[in-house]
Amino acid sequence: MKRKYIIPILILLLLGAGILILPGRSGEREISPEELLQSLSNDSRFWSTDAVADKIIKQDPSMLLIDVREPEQFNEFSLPGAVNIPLKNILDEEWEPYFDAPDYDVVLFSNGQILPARAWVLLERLGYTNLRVMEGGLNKWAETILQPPKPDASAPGTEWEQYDFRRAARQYFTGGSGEINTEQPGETIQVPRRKKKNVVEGGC
Amino acid sequence: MKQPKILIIIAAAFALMIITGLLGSRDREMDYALSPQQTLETALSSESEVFPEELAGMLENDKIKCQPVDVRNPYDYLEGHIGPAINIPANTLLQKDNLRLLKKFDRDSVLMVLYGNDQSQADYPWLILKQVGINNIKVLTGGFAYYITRPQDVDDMPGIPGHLPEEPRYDFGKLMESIGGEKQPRAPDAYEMVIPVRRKKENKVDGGC
Repeated sequence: MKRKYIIPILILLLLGAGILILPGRSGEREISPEELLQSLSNDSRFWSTDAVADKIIKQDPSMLLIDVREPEQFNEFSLPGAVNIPLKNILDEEWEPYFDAPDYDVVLFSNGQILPARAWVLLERLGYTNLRVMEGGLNKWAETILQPPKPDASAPGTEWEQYDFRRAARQYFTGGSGEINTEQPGETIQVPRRKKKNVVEGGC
Repeated sequence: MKQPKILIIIAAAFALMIITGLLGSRDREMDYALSPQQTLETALSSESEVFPEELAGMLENDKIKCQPVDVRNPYDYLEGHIGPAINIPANTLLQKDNLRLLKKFDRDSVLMVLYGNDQSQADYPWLILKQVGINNIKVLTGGFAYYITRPQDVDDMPGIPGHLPEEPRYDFGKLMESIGGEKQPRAPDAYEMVIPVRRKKENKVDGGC
């Protein structure tokens, strides 16, 4: 009698072991190539330079700016508050908390659009959410925020509103004196950090 | 005698269910040919682009096997495209028939050149196709918009070529200075965002006697 039990028990044990090993094969949250390709159709990953400028001025704490260029370029000029994570270091473990942050909009940018595109594909595959790309990069930033083109006199009102916003933003970012009184940049954006708890020490 | 037989039948049914389940899920999901680290190396490689002049040269030369692939939507494709290009809209690139075609080009060592309106439109799908194991594929620098408007003589182009998407078109530091009037050094410390890093629980030391 007992021998006949051994075969089914062995089969079940083998299958159980197989199930344990299989899910570990691919990453925990890695999405499939098809899902990755379909997520491209969602244009909400693109943020305009105006949207980014607006959030910086409002000191929106939910936005995290990531400059994926090399440190030399970052040290010369970058956006206020940006963190420098060069593309080649993007998979380093020390940066993981910056991407594994579902409560933040992680905005990737460089001079153009190619480096952040590649960073985006890589990070999106790993299953991180709320990844954004600043459309047009810092070149576009220079053309829209730092040197806003004046609309035609016949341009619709919305274009003039945008122009006014960009002029005010320019004053904010360059520190040029103007009639619009903006807050001086330099205030620290603080995300509340938990204080270290004292380690409980027992005693006699 | 009856009980063991039932047990075997149940075990066999159980095994069958699990095997079909596993096979089904593997069949549905395509696997990556590159690990994230390998993908990063691909993303950093300087050999990912084909310049418009290069492409034009290759298309004129019969000896070089080259296939431009237009990833825009069919409407844009019909409005105008690079001569021998085939149209595979970006979101259909991984469909069975399309993937089979791309793999066939890859096996026949035909160089595929992906392009969209601008370079980044093709750059996203390019890195995805690389990851599913298609090797012989590059992206057209500047995209279609630049391809059709580019000056014929490359040496005539003044200043920094506008189509190189990652080149800074401005000296940002000087630009800031000229607008702001005074030098505004970037002060990362003043703005530094503090990201709460979830600390792993440490075992608290419990002292005792």
